[in-house]
Amino acid sequence: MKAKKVMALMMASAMAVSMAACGSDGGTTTKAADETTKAPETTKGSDETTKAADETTKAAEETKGGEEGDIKEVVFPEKVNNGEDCTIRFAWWGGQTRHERTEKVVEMFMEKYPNVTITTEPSDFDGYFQKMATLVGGGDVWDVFQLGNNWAEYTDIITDLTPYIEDGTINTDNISDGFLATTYDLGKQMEISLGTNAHVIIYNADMFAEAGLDEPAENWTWEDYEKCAEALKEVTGEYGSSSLEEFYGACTVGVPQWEDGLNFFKADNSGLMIDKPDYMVPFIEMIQRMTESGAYPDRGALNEMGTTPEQNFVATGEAAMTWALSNQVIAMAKAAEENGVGTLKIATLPRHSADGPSGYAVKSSQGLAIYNKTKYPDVCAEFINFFINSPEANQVLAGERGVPITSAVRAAIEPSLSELEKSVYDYVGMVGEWEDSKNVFINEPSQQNAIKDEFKNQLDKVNAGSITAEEAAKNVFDFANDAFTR
Amino acid sequence: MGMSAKKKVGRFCYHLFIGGFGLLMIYPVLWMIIGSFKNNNDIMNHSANFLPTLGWHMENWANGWKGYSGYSFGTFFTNSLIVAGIATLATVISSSMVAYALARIKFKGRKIWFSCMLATLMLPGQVIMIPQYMIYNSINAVGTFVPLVLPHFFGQAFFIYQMMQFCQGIPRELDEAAFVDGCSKYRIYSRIILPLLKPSIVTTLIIQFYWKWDDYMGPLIYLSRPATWTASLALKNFADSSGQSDYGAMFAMATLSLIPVFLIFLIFNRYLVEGISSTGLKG
Amino acid sequence: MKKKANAALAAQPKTFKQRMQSDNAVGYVFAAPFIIGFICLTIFPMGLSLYYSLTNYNFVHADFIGLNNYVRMFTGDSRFWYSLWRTFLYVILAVPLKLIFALLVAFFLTRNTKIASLYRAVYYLPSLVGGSVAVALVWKQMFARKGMINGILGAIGIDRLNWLGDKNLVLFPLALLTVWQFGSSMIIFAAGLKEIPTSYYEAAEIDGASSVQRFFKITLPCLSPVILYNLVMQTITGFMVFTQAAIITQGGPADATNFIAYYIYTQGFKYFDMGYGSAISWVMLVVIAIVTLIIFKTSKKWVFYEAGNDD
Repeated sequence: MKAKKVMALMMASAMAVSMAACGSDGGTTTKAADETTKAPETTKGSDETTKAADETTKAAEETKGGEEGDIKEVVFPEKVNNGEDCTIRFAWWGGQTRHERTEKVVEMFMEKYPNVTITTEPSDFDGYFQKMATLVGGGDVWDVFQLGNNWAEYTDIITDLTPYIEDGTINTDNISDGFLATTYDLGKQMEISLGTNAHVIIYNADMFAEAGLDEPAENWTWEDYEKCAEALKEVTGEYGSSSLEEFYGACTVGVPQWEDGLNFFKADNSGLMIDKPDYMVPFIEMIQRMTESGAYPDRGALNEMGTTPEQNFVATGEAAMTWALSNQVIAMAKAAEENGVGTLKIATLPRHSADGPSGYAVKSSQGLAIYNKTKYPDVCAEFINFFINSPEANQVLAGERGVPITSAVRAAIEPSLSELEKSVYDYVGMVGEWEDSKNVFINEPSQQNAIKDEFKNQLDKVNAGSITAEEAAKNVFDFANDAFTR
Repeated sequence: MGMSAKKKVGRFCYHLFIGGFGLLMIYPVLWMIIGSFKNNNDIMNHSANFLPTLGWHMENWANGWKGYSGYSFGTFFTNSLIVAGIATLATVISSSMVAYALARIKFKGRKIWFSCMLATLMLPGQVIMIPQYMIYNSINAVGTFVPLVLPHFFGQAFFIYQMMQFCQGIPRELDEAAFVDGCSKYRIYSRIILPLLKPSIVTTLIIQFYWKWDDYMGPLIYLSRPATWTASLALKNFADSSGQSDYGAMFAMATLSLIPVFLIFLIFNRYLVEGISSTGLKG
Repeated sequence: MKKKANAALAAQPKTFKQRMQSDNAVGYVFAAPFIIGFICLTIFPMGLSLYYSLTNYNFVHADFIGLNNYVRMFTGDSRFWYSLWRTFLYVILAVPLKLIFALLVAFFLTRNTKIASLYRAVYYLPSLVGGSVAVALVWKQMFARKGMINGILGAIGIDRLNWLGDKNLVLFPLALLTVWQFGSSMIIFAAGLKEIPTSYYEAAEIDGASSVQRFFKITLPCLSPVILYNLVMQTITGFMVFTQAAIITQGGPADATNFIAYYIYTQGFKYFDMGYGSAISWVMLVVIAIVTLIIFKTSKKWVFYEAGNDD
């Protein structure tokens, strides 16, 4: 090797430096920093927030208690789009089962209305929102698409479905207003829910018996939970508790559990509703204690676990309790049975105090929304109507996205439900009727992802002993406030 | 007795050490291959053992092959093959052209383009990851194979450089003689340089193919629909969704995804070694 | 026919066909792929990236916000600093070890026997498969709580270690995965070793130098340009580490493996904060350039070039 080549390399690196130079002089300027660092304005806009909150609560109030027994027949129109040919794009995310079932329903719809072509775009969760973000940027979103409770980010592109409900295109005769309200926010019917969910604790009843513990009461507290977890760890040698949704536990569910009527985020997604970090502290401390004693898995173990219900330590027999969503119960129980680790049962989420609020509500797992620039809004609405009301379609879907919101579909599925499935349906029904759940917001602002990650990091630091729970809570609080000022 | 005992012992130690260390090196790979025949319980509870304790489980392969989201690994391997195949061919053609120009033709600005080429060789890809995504997005190419193969039609610095090194070993007299005989510079490329570049081209074919085959970040960013996934992306998602509860199947598909690389290694080992060493040296 | 044309060149104005035969034309025709690609897929995106770094681009809107992203990075984002620090640690841990292994093994395998080339092949295999998702998944399983490494440790009576869950340990498995792939550097070293004239060694042997002395007095200095090349390339690759963080640890625990490339990906494609992601990527470029420059500057002290007319 001669000097020539090294010289060439050096030249190249020198070039890289000079190319980079134009970027770097920006980064080191400190003057700009002083100008922009202002105290976050936390109080501004709180009036609007409460107003928005009122609206949601109102919507929820008006609606409770749709009668289950009274099932009306839904008549589907003979043709859509006057029989003229049209093509719409339909996208959703999910796993394999969902993809197969959804494709089948799409085929059924196209068979019924041969003039309509639906092109489908199934994907996984991460890819879905990445794709969606680019489509929003390009102004070319799918005509009908699945959406979770993160509609706040997309309000500008969503068609308000209220007119279609009023003119009967989307038949809601068999849907209680309460269920409709799970996707009603900021004065708009954002989407029609395809299934409802509630937070739930899944536990291994056999392990509870082994440890000589009573099964959880409906209003058990986090203190009880921790005691159970420690006892279970002591006796079984496995984790007392598998993953708790740490961010929800400390923040979005945790805060409404306190008795001062606050939520973590403001209802209009403009910032934090809490004014001090203290709300997060007890939960963080609990996780820290349980992690230290080995009753709760550390980050490495949680990373190993994966995110599907079948991978949960409760399903593999390596833990006794876990936080989950009600639509995960069946899959987890099935896996637990296959692994021969015991019988799984469900319990309510523990509370901050035994006579305090539960802090959570029934929420829509996912819904279908319509793009507001679609050429065929009526066809899309008809498709949604078919998707939620057709008994044949729902025999295929079989409640995979959560408890179906139309009573007709629930009634049609009911006979084929197992004991556990029935208990899940009952559970979701029960949570839906809790009075205090009306005060819980269901919104998820776009900043949530980053805040959630920050929370996870801070929690890891607490577990590593490098900061205290108070410091972690304060860091998350500051980070979140900062995220909303950008 | 030509060899003294001391020398024999020394030799034995040498082979013991180098061989033993070599075994240690490939142990993880062997462990993966054997792991594809173990069941979950075996992998979790007898992890120190090399051979299966609880019997050989062939069904892992069938379970794994079923794939993800209704698409079997057949689809994913086909996708990988398409992407890696196109990218590799494109790289060979474009890089050899550019290498010919930079090594053999004295055109204005050659030195500048040569240093640009060296600069891209050292440029971290992540710097342009985001804007490239935007560009592909604006031409509606996200979700297709286009972003994964298009850059390869414009030459890859690493291979251009390597081919240039090789070109320097081809006697200039050959093209000069051809030129005197009335052969155009275009024909010199196709009739003289390209055939003589063959060893370097083989190296490029191999290395580019397995780089592209292994690539994870590109597919991760650009491919969202399962039907378009390459083997590496599918493997990751497979592991996330069911692999952790079915390690054997995950190992089986992991092994399968490496088979093309193993084959290359076995058949073209010599070219690989030459190719790698020529980039770091000579010149 | 061509000869005639050549002869007539001076007298007549050039036709298009003739012009295409000039060195400039041929050069640009053949270099065209690279030039087009360089401008469209490197320079243009870099400019775009620089522009994005001055906006709050998030797919939907891109408002110009001046240097706010950089201010935020340097004054308000502790994750960024930590990410930079961990990336540094990783590079410092992995790159020197990798090169030392590569050099030593190459040195021991200089003999040109069949068995030596078999060994070389075996040592080379990991760098062929090491970057793949498959191996990353295997690594994750090897260092899992009930994984192979802990299984072996358990068998010899050592307590399980929490490799991937402890932020003080987690860099080791990841660095090991990098070091494990020393094969390609080894091959470059091996080729370099071949070029050292045997006469040097013979002369040293006559002078009575031990093999250790020969290694330090002859091998290392003669190989120093190759070492420099490997060091630079491996350092750059080291700073770009992504797949391992993405697959094995997802950046955790406590951001301990949130390497800078992974952080850019997270900001850009998870939080959709493309503007900020672009800003970080520019800082990353500057950091890499500075480190490379430092290596080159110090190299004057330890890299020896042959005078060129030794023989």
